[in-house]
Amino acid sequence: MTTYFDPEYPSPSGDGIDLNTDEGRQQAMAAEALILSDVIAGVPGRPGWMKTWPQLSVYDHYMQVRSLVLRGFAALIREANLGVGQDAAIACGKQLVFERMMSASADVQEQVLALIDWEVIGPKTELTQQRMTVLKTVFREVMTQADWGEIANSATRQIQQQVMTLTDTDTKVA
Amino acid sequence: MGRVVGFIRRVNLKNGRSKAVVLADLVTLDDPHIADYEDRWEPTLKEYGEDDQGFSWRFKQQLITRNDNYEGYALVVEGLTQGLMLIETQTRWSRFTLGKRLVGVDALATAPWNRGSIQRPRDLEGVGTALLAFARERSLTLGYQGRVGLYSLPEAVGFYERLGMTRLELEPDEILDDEDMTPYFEYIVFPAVDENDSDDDLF
Repeated sequence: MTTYFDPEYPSPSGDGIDLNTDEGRQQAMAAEALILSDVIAGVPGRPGWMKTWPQLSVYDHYMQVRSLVLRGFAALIREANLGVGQDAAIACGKQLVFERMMSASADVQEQVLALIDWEVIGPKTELTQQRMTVLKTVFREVMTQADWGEIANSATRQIQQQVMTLTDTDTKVA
Repeated sequence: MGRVVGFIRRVNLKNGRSKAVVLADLVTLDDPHIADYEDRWEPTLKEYGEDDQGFSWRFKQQLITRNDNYEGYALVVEGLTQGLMLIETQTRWSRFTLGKRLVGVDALATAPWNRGSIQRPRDLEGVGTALLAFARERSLTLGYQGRVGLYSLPEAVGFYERLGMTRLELEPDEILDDEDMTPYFEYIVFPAVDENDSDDDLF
């Protein structure tokens, strides 16, 4: 199992509050007093695919799976080299993938869950070629022709918009 | 190192009006705390339309009973439960320090009368701080060097930032829309601790 690690991740500023000191706890209490929310940590209920994937009982695990699937879908669209329509296709497709995965068959759920190491909840799972191959099979199964059509239309609209503004520029040719 | 049971220690909270110190018992989660949640917290939360949807503490208690990797804690003042916390101790790994374990705070809640959205001034202040401090201490005890990870409700983001916890920034590909993400925060190791001093390396 390999994990994704981004060296650009932020590091601690070092000016945080030390909960081991009385002074630190006083500061933390003051900061806590500003919170108005009902619960201060945790995710209530079973959001997203957790509602329909019985094996996804831990939110961290769900986010790990979701991250891999959505990154895999974006990579697939990038392979298609859609140019200026790419971002629109990804944005549209991600929503459709999310919806289709809500009703994914038990078989699809099993295939996707097998891509994640259950013993290591948290770090981002690397999008390897092997995992990408499985994800392509999954996307082929869960997405409909209408879905792919909608994604293509999103890309087309984006390209069309770009073309329509070609003459809007103030740039003067010498 | 193992799971503790029963009374752990006294901790200091603050009276929300007088700011005087109030002593609370930090204890492991048990039936009376679940009863307080169901009989005292829930009716008040419902009255104020702040039902903690899906935060079934009875379910969490079952999770703890059936799985060694979950632990539950409560803060009690004069026999009444003031705060509850569920942590996971064995399967969570740092997002920032490759191959290092952490304590995951899966749920942390304060009683309705300690919430600024329901009552001002609150009955007690510092419930969340005390429980979070214990989670960090538990991390040290387990050899995780103080690493703690949690998902914050959006309203509490400022609190965790003020504490010096580090927020995970997601890649754009992982985000569906602005509203669907729950911010993740992590307490990274204390600066004074030697990163090579742990035996829990995975990689």
